[in-house]
Amino acid sequence: MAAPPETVRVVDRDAAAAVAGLDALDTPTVTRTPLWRRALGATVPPVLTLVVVIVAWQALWASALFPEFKLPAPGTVAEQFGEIVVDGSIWSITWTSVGRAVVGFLVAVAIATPLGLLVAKVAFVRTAIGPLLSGMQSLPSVAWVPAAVLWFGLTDATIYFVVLLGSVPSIANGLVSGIDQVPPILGRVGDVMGAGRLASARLILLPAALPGYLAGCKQGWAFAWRSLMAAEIIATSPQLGVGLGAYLKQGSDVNNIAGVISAIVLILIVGVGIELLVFKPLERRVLQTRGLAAPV
Amino acid sequence: MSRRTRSLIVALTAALALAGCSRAEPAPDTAAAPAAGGTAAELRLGYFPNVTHAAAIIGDTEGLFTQELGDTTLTVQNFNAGGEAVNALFGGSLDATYIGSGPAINAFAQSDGAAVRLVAGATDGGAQLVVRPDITSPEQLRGTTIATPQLGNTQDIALKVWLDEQGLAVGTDVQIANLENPRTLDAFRAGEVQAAWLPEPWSSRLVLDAGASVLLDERELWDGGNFPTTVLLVSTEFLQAYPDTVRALIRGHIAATELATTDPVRARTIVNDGIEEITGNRLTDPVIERAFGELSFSTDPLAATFPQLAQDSVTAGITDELTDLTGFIDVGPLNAELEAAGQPAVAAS
Repeated sequence: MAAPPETVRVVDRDAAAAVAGLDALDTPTVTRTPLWRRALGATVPPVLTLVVVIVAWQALWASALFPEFKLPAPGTVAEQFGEIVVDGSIWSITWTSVGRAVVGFLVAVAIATPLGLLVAKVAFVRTAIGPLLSGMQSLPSVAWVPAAVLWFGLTDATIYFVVLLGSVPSIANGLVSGIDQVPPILGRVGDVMGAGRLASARLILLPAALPGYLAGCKQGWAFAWRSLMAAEIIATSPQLGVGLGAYLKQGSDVNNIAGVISAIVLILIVGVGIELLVFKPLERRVLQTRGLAAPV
Repeated sequence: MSRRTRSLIVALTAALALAGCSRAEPAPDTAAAPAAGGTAAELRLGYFPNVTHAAAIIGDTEGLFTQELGDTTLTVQNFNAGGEAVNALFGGSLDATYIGSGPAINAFAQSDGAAVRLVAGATDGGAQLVVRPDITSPEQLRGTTIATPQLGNTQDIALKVWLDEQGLAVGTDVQIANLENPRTLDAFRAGEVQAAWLPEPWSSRLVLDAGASVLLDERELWDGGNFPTTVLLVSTEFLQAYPDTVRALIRGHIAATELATTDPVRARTIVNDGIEEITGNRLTDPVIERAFGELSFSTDPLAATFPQLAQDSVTAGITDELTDLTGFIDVGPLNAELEAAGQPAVAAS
């Protein structure tokens, strides 16, 4: 659907104008697709996927291969989902978990950023805790839940502890690998221009390492969200309130498979939502400023 | 939209409509057909290390089940509360289980009456609301946290129904914490929970080991003081495929119940040994004596109480609508075995 390239008219023999014309010829052509087309292009494929999944599910249910207490009809799950939408509990359930995840994630960023900088720039720190940090990243943070329950009881402290241990290592590691990939010449340019250590970190290192850092943050969010769900499913108490994990556990406790699946769907929706609303636009902007993605 | 996309969507909509219209009749279970005259190669039985499951502990550790089961291998699995046991039954990793009446009804309700059958009773009574000694009236429970073994288990339902009758709202007036029983004892000692509605021996342990006092014995809530605490639940599929194995299990169950009622001193020792083996903890003599005194053993499931129990499950918010209990209680095999043993039959409703 490429639009015809802009025609450049060279009006006279004026050299400057001619060069300008050549420049214009050299600029990449930007094709403007109408908004509705782009919206359609972005929504139709995922909606189609969703329809296929639901049809397959419905067909599997209709085949009666599994009893309904194992595989409920999509309609039954939708009904269960509708129930929490109608009574409004969906908002409190989602907010309990998302609130925790956001707070936990922000604290993790605040801890992991200086930590990552230290590991990347101070050789001693890198040798001392670098391997530990990588090791922690591969340790599933759900393994901390039993210990955390003993240390902090069934409180928010347990949940935040597990979330932080899940996300701090991946954010810090993301920053470290981002910094490692910064071309050394950039640092030298900074030296030449008289940037001190702090200015160099703020103005050169961090912006240059941004793509790697962002990838680390994205992974850190995913780890925080997973750790949170694991902690919420294992540690339940009235003081902790009902988040998504506890809601899932409740469904399991009363052997209600439709409740369990609607909890999983809700967890998935939140995950996709955060990805689409926060990380996708952020990533796009970072890539665009580096000329790696077409402007919207 | 291209013509291809459009035809794809049309096809999908048609498929959806087609799939949506009806569910096929489940194929008759040919795979689970009786192997050797209705005898299974293995019976996977679940029970909890509680005094309310005394018949199971006695039948298992005294070999009363294996004696009746003959060539069928007995595999036992222990649970903390009913919800987990039902998940195991639904998932096909358990064939039969001793379980509280609440989760038994819930299992029947969640599977639309398909997955399970109640084949015998085991224990009546043996559940109490125990509280910190300074709490002497229901009104004083305001602002407290009360522990129950699991969301939707028998005691959890009983507590919620009782709180409802007392006009105490869950979540605002009182909090309910679902804790594993050993955790409840620790939490009560630490002051994290101020009350607990528990099956034996845990109510006795809180009273004797942690200084709790009894605010309410659940027997007071039932006419004649009899209500089913533990029943024997069998997967429908297993019951249909291996009726002889179920009959053998029931014979072992009758023998264990008889031992528990006729020789309580020996039964106490057996049950305590069994609990020690499973949990690593032995109950003190006063605890096990008190626990045995709070309940009675009978193979009668007290079928007449189940409509009320089903209603309680709705009141407690565990099931959405009143469960139709038709077909739930199947005491045919039990009555046949009772008759053979020269004992009176139990009521089927």
